[in-house]
Amino acid sequence: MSESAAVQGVVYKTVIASGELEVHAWALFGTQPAERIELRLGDEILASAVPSLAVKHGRANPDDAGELPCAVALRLSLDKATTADVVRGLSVHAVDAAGRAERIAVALHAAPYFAAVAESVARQRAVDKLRAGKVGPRIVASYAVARLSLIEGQAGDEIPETIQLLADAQLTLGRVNTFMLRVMLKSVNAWQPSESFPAKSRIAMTCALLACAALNSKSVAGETCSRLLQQTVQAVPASRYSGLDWPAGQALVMSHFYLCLMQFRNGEIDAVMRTAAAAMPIMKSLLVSIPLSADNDYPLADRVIWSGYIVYMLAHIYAKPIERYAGSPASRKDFLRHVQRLLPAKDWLPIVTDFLGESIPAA
Amino acid sequence: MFIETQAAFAGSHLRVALKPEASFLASDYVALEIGGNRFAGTIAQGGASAVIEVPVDELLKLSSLDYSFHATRTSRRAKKVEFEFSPCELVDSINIKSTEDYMERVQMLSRRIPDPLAIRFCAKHKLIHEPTAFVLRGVALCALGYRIVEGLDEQDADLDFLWREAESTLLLPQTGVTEFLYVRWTTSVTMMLVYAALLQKDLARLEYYLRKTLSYRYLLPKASLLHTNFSRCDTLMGLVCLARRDRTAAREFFNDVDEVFRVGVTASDLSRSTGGFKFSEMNAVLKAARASARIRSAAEVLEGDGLVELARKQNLGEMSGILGSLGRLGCWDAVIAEASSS
Repeated sequence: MSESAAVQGVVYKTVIASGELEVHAWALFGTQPAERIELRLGDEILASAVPSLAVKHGRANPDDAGELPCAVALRLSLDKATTADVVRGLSVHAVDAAGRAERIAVALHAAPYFAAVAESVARQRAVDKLRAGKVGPRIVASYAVARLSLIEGQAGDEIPETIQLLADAQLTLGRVNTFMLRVMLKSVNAWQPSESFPAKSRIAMTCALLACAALNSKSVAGETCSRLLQQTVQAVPASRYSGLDWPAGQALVMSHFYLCLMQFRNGEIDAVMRTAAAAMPIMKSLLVSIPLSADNDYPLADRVIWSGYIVYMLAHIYAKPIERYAGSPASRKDFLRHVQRLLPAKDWLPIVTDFLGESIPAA
Repeated sequence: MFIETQAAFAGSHLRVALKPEASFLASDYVALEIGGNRFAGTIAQGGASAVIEVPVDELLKLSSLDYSFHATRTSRRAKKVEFEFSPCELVDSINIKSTEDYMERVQMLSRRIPDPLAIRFCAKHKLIHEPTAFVLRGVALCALGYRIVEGLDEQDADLDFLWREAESTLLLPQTGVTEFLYVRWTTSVTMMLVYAALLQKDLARLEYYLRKTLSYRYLLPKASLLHTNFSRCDTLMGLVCLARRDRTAAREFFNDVDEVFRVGVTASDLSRSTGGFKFSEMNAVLKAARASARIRSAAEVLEGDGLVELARKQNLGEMSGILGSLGRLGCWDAVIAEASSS
């Protein structure tokens, strides 16, 4: 019921579907329907409508239809919600003929949806702010871990997105929390590709996880990652490579790259050789299969080539005579110079430098 | 006595500077004997150093470049004093005795002689003394041609020699050489000549050698090594066609680059430990493919002089550094202008 004696009303149903929040509410001032019902986020009116649906007043049950048109279904694009400055205090207000607004309550069974919307808004804001460098990576990482716990086992693309978010945050921090890695691993393992969210989401997740594991390889055993990678590769048979896009193709090769680096650092030379042997035909197959249809595809294809090259180098130049790597600091520096030349993106460098325990030499 | 030696190619001479531990005397004698010919040096005033200058044209005529230094000094007691010389690295490096050394010092990117003038010398020496050895001549022509093109001097004194030797080499019969090697070095030479023609703003030669290189395109799956050349030739030919306002012909060349990329990648052998350069090749072809796709797309909405302008304004440096340098030199503008008026 309403929070004011002057108004009766309730939010009796909320639905999140197709990128929209749908809020059903009714409100009466005395016996008169409200002039309009508004959905607000803080002080901002996000949606407003004149009541036109009939429900039996005084009842929260939407199926209990009445004669008085006092209810509305307010629709709000979640994209619009994400642009709001205030994320807490999502509320519904009834406005009378004199322009007086009264907040109405949210029925108990509808409340979790409001929470979910607030979460959703917060999540998007976290992503945006992380990308804009406005929110510290620690906050984002904490949020992502909490979120992964809440949505465990769900379908859809929120799990891959959140894992990516968590990976980005950790890579930005330059170190990985063991607990967070385990949360990621658990989520990756629990998530199942579906028709709507195909294997490429798993590729992206695996890539993100391996990147983090590579940063802190003591936390997740190489064997676990190797198994995960196998699972990922098997999820996308070569015959379906042409159905991948370049970001997914790039992530697939980068997954091998991260795994190879991790194995390399752990001294698992045989494993490095196996990973490289698996990566080469995949890389070639992706380059041949995925259409280059937009200008933006080329830099990604380029990174596929250079990621493959690093893997190749690890196997052929450094891994084969192990003593060449283990015994020669000059070789490590030489390798880093190659990495710097080939993968200049700044987010890759901390991973590689952390591996070898050396700073990047001046170009 | 010990003499430090330092040599360098300078203009038309090989100049060897000699610096003794103690000063030379005016009565001293220094000389370089090379290939049975002796070239005497000049002692600087004060005796601190001496210089031996050997005309490069003379050196090029010598089939053997075995060498030794000679210096004598007469002491107050009329005794001759022997000198010991430091090794002369440059002269050692050009005194090539085996095919393996030649390939390593002249062709291999990672191990070749660092001095471009020395490489030019070795290449010219080989061309003069090996009139029929097709592969060795191909290596020499590419070594010489690329050093000329990198010099960016369209009046380079070696250009006439290059064209003469290249044209005669391309007429050599394919005897004693496998088809692969024959095509591999033929296309390497014709591709180099494309750049040389561009340096000289010679559209006719440019187009002739672009088409000649592409005439071996059918061998691509077998000779994956060549896909870099084919992709660049396709792109450049497409641009020449655009300059002639012929979008249909241009489209065919641009479309082929994507195919060249895919066939080349498929055929690239990455299993061998020496296959690292394949990644560079793939990257190079990808650059040409991107440029071609972008130009092809832009050309679809243009007509007439718009096509000419599109061809002219391309930054060829996207495809390769050498093309970028030639573009900045105005070579590309010149050939496009000629193509558009022909």
